Amino acid sequence: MGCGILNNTPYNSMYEDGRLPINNDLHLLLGASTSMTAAPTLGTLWATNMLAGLTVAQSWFNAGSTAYLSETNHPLTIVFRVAYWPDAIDDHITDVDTSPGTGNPLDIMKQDATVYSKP
Amino acid sequence: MRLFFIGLINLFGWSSGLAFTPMWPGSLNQYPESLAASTNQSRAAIEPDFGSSFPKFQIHNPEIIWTAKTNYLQKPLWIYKAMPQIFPRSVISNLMSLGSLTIQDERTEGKINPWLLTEPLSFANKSNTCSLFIVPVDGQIQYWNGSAFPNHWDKIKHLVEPAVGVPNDAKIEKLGLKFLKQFGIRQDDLAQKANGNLLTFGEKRTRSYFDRRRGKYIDDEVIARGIFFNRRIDGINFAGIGIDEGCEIMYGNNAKMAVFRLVWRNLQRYQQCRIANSDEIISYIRDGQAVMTHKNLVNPADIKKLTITDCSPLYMGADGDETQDFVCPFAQVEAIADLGYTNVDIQLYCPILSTNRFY
Repeated sequence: MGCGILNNTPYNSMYEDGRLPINNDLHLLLGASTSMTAAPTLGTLWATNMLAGLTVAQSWFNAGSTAYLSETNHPLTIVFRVAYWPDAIDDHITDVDTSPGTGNPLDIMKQDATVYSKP
Repeated sequence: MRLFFIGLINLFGWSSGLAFTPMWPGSLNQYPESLAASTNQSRAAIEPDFGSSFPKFQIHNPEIIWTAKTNYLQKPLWIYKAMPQIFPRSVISNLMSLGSLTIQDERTEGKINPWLLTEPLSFANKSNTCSLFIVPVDGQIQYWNGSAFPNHWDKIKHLVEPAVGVPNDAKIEKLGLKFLKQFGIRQDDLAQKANGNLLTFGEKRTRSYFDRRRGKYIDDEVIARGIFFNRRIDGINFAGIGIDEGCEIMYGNNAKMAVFRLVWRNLQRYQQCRIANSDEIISYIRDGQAVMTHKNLVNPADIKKLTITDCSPLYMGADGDETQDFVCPFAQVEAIADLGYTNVDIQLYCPILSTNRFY
């Protein structure tokens, strides 16, 4: 976890060259495409959401939009990103036995969620 | 018993206009006698804990100048007590029908009788694509419907489900307000900007992928849009962007509701309090009782002079996973920090109630 680890420029460059660090067994790669701050409750919220039955990706997005909400004037827009094989976006924490990749790097997708925005 | 209740739900369906107890506080004389404040309640037990999310604002005795208006000092503020929220059956019925949830999907465990609507209630369908949680004690509802997102992937043709009919930003606000009316939540109950417009925060979900139908890479296609509304009480906004007392609503394909998260506690007036004057606010800051928000971060120890330019009350909520006994106002302080070599606009959260707060 860190600021911009799935930032657009390197992500797109790696995607175009088939060099994303996503092999055929990796289901989801979670991070942020913008700066983010180390909200103290982020990890707990993510885990709680997954245990409550949300998908892994939705749990990550929900955790982000909960962890940063205690102030009105946060200077950043924070965007969480999930890169994934198309079959894996609805994975739950229990979905560990599948091999989601098609083997074609062209099929790798990404979803972005604005988890904190200015008014 | 449950079949009887289902019958009730069907009877008082979504559009039935079932009467229910309003969720906003009533007038002064409507709160129960049992809630009358005891003045020996410790201040620490009631006033907001700014938690660990914000850096402490501990300064080395700089000059502090007050230039802010002090209109707000003239109006006393209320501390509220958070009581369990009983959500209308018609609302629960509607949320169930939105996600095609049935009684067979109920997963509440270990409760004596969740159907009393004072106990937590939990639903999830068999494929775990839709869930609904209701926690009355924290005024919380969480609804999630994964099928509203166009995530289906055709494994044979390697085609992704198209995004169709996602509402635009203007429509999202209207849809959200209309939906909240079902809960008795009116526009006046929602946070406003200084100009009287609603204070809302937008969100969107996008995806990027190679589309084999069109033979090209699609970047940032919007697959869902949402909005956060904050709560407001006595004309004072709650802090934050929504579900620390407010709600989030997100719509996906064909304007189907994908996410609904509501935290709306049943707030009862508890104690009317005198507000701190400017000298007291300054003393709270000097005593290290303030925290710094992330608007702009500075090292408080480096501040040579602090000029307070604005001070306004907010209420502090809590997310739905946190039990909150009291809802208390605090001060949002705008200030200019003079660091000697540059000035920085900073924002502080600080206690607002007077040390001599009881009437």
